[in-house]
Amino acid sequence: MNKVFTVEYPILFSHCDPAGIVYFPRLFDLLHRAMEDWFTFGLKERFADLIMKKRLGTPAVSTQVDFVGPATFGDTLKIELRVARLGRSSIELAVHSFVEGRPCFKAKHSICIFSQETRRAVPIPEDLRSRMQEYVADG
Amino acid sequence: MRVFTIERRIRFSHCDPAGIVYFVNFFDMINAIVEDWFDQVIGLPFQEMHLQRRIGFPIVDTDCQFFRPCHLGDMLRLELGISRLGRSSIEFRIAGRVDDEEKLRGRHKVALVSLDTFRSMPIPDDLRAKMAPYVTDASGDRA
Repeated sequence: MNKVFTVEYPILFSHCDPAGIVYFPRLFDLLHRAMEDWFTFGLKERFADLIMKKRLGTPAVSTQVDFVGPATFGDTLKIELRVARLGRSSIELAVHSFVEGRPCFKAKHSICIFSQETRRAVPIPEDLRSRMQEYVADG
Repeated sequence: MRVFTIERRIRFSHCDPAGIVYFVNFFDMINAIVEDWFDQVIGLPFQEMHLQRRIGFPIVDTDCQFFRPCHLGDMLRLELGISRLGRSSIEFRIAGRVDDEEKLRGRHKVALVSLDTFRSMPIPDDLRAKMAPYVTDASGDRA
């Protein structure tokens, strides 16, 4: 219980803009990558299979991000992912990121589980829900 | 109150394997409307801002709700207004529609900094005067 999924990614040349810092949509891309890795390695539900075989989807419902400090080329971004709220088909992720211990961004990212066949939100499958439950943060 | 508008055709490259626009690409489009507004309305293209004047408007925080997915071929109309003009910050209000359907609504706050010190700076009066017509009514609901 109260698990935290943690990953580290290098900030690459291709993430950065002419001001020399990460172009902010690339941070969302890294947030999504952390979520994919959480499914695959944290929840043991290969993200590619969820999309390509089970024909589900995880569209963003809302994203709220505070940019606290910059990340630049050569940095290593540490991302911590927790579940802030687990709904019937929605999942609110609390995502914190750090560069050498300094906060970079913190996000609330809500997704839902979606059927590619019906194009509608569907309940989170029970086995997945019980594994997600372990990442629900207290308070 | 003025609203600045751009249109973006949803391309193959915007969409993901689930067949809808990958949400990160919406943030790239939000950046695009801000960039076009600075160029066409404020008269400060990003190349002059960043490379000559050595100033920038990095993101302070951003918040976007996605109501309905967008699909390949859609023509997305993006609208920009200002919900709050601070001393050094601008809080944009962004709306995205395809035909009459609202697809997304965002609040996107940036602040002026020196690229040499990364400290915030007041928005110069000449720029502020050009921004002012885009400030929405205080009574308007916040995105």
